[in-house]
Amino acid sequence: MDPSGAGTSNDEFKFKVVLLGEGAVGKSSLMLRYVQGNFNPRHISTIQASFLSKQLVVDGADIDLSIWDTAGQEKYHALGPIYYRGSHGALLVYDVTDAKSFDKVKMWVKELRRALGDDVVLFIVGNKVDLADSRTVETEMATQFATSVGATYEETSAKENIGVENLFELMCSAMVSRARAGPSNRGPSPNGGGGGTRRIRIVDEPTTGRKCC
Amino acid sequence: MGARYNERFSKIESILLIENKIIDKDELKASCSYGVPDRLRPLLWRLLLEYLPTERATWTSFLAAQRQTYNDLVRQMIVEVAAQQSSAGDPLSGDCSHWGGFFADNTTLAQIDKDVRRLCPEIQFFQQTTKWPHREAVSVNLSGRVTQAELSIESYAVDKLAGSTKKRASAEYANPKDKGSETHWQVAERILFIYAKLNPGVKYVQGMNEVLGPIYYVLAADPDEEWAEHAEADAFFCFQQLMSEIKDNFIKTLDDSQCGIEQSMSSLHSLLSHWDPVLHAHLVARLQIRPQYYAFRWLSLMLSQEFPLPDVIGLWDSLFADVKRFTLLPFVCLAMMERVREQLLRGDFADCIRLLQNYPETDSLVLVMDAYAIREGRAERPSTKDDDSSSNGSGAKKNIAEKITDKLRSTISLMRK
Repeated sequence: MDPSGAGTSNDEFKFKVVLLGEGAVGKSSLMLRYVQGNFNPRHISTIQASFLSKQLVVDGADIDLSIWDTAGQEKYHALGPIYYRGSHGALLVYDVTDAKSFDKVKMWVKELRRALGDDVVLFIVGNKVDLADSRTVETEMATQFATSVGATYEETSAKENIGVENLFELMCSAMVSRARAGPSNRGPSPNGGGGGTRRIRIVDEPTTGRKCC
Repeated sequence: MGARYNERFSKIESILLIENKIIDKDELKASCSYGVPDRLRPLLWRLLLEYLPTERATWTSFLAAQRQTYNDLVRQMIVEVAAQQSSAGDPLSGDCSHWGGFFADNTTLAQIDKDVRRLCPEIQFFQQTTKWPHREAVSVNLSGRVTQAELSIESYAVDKLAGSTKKRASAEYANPKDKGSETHWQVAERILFIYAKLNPGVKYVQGMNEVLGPIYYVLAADPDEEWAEHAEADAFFCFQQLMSEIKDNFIKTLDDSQCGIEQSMSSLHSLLSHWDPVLHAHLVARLQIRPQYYAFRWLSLMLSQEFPLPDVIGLWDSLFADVKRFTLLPFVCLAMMERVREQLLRGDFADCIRLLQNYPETDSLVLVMDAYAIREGRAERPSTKDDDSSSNGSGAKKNIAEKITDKLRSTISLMRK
């Protein structure tokens, strides 16, 4: 961003994150909850892809986060690459009350690994946990699946504002450590199963201070 | 402008006078190109979309036949199917040959259902009950089939997913409780379902709801009850007419064929590069903005998601009246970009995408006038930084505009084959 680091010398990162998943699982709602802090039970269906951005500080890094929220319907699937190309992270969202939407996540994992390789940080997100009574996909199974594909599993409710902020911060944290580990961590990724277990700190003290000063 | 407004409207009225046995379509289109009076819109859209024939004497019998046809379709595809299913019992036991199609339909229906429930959320209209529920189909709760479908499909394919098949609560949107009534979104759902059944090559694609929305609204909100009563059937046919012109936007999303949305998007950018090379260079060369980032939705849905409903309706008057449908649309898009040109030129990637995806509220008539001015070579060209020859006079401007227009026309005619 423009005034380059007067005062504290945080690392600066520009990250692109894409939201993918079946229609009506709550992708747009998650993004709007996170960026604008509100929830609209009647959000229009997303055609093409919507863009929002947000600045935040995570793990001593200034992050300029671009979020692309995509259309869910199968017909629009083929448009995916246009929006996920160059992404540092992907949130694969499903609805915990809709088992079919979880199958869609599995498909996206395959496609993203093929298209973006191991460098992309994958989060699998079970949304709508407020509808506990109608739940059809259990946490344990989703966690197991996530681990098996090197992704992190999180649960959210965009409606009740559960876990949303945390989700994006964990994602950013994982992307920061991935980026700090160096651009060319090809091969077996050092942080194996999705990393990102490090908690976020509210940045006061530069934790690493590795960028001189 | 008030005077010209009245002049145009009285012109439209004179074309529609009862003594004109045949309505002059070209004249009608020409006089509707800058908008139509509200009270005549339901009739005019039926005419402009070429649903209603120009021969006035045939209207009564034509409409009766069409509405009958629609009702027959509803009976066959919804009412009778529902009756069959309820008498056939449990799909998981015994003969299930005819259940396959039923489930396949339900997948389509589930998709439609998700979308119609969130149609035009900024207005209450679609959540309200209609005064004219469908006589036969109202008893068939089409959206109710969706929950049933999910239940059945899930237990059908008891796969690796260990999960119970509890019925899904539709907490956000309740169906009307009263058995004999239905909401406008349920009517829209039926129209889209019938369309999907009749057009298996297209079926239902997200976004079609946004195309049907304004049409159904205009016909159903007609203060003339004799017409409003038949909004459902007529909206179905108007929608079908419109879809026959724009369905490529929905079925050929991704192949690089010479028609469809890919082509429309690239011709928009080439139009921009001819008309305003500076803005084009900024957006495309500098910021790497692709038309898929904003224009996909503009073009495929004819701007229906970009503006509040009244503005969309105003805009569609002009788009429908376009003699060479829909060649005006890219010019409206261009006019939109020119209106925010300075902001775009100052913006970075995020600023520009945000602005283009959340276009500020603008009087649709202003956009239409700008669009015509550009298309007809009357608009002043945007300044080019390193171009001093812009003082060449309007003749030169006009030539350039004409050239662009011709180029665009030829691409579009190619596109429409």
